[in-house]
Amino acid sequence: MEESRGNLKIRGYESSDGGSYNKILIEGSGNMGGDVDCTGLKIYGSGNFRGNLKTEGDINVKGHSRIEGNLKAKTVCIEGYTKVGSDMFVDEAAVTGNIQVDGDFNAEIFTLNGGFRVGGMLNVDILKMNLEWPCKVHEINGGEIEIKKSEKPSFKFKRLASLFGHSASHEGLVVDTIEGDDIYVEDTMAKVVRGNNVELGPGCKIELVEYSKNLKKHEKVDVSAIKNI
Amino acid sequence: MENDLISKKELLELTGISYGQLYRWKRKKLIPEEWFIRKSTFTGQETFFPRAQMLERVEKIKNMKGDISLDDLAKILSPNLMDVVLEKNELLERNIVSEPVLDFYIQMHENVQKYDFERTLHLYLLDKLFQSGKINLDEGKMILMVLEEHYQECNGKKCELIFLRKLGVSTCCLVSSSTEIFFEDGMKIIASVNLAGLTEELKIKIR
Repeated sequence: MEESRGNLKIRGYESSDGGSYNKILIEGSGNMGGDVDCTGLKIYGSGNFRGNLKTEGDINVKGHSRIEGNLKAKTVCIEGYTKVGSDMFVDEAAVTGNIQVDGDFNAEIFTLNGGFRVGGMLNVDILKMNLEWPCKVHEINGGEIEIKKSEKPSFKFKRLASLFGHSASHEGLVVDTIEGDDIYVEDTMAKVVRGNNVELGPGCKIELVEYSKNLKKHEKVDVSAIKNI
Repeated sequence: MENDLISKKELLELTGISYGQLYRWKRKKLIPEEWFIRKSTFTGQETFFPRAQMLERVEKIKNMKGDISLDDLAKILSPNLMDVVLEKNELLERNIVSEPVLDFYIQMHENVQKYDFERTLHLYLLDKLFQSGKINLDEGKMILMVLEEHYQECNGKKCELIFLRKLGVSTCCLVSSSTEIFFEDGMKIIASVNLAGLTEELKIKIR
């Protein structure tokens, strides 16, 4: 591994090579070619990473970031928008805004206010989401899973629109399988929800629910089959 | 076949572990991703595991996790495949190299018995190129020389081996993948091999 190159500050619009850095600060618009390894990253504005991004520390984004390869970090805090082209491995992720991961999203803790899209699997120990617009993923696997619908203007607007005959496609979360120990979901359309303690909040449309300990079901829930396993 | 697999449901029941634990161990690479086998069942897609290996692995993790960190445990359970050393006959048995190519190599290196990962990778690459019919024996020697001299410097970085020919004269080079090279029309790219991809392929064959 190359020796660390020291801190990197990008101000304005600049491109830089990939490589090993100490702390990276982008104020403006930064373009990093190649794989990047750093001790910490702060973006105020926009950061574009052509390769993989790895840090043993924290990533803070206020604005926009795009990583074409993998993202590995200790913590990730995003206000705005982030896109990861491959897999994401973090200890803790806190997102206000939108995050898109084309590969797998792995985290110990993930809190989200806004929306997301994951191409692969969402594998999280503690998951807390307040969704403001439609989201999609194939599988969610984890420990404590809580997915709520946010009472924000975007949803209310869509409800108004549907009153006038414009029906939006499902508003909340669309997922194939959710499996976890303790699950609470709202406004979720799923093929299978499987867990130890499962609570289905309003707006859910589930084909099959399998629970081993407890099942709670709100009255405004559409479930095709229930099994106690 | 069915007896060799255990369903996720049965696994959790038998071992008493939780979904959270199972998927945390997967994230920490304590359980290989390949062991998570997706199959279509009556209820949709379900996950199965190789029964014996999975039960053994879960017990091991349960017993050891109190004493050491999950990251250290991962290192013990998934040894670095690049430390593996193979015998000559294993190379043939596992279909890594064909016999003529192995003989060709031995002619130039005396009778090597033990093949470490780097040597095995060189052979694997050579075998692929020979089998493709794109290179001849002398060209193979040249490729081998480039690899032996310069592979170390490329190791860890994304590298490509490019084999070129112009008007009957051939050459080859190792290029770091983030570089782009543009050749003049007379120069034909005969073969271009991504070493990182090849390394992953070889790791799977060695396992």
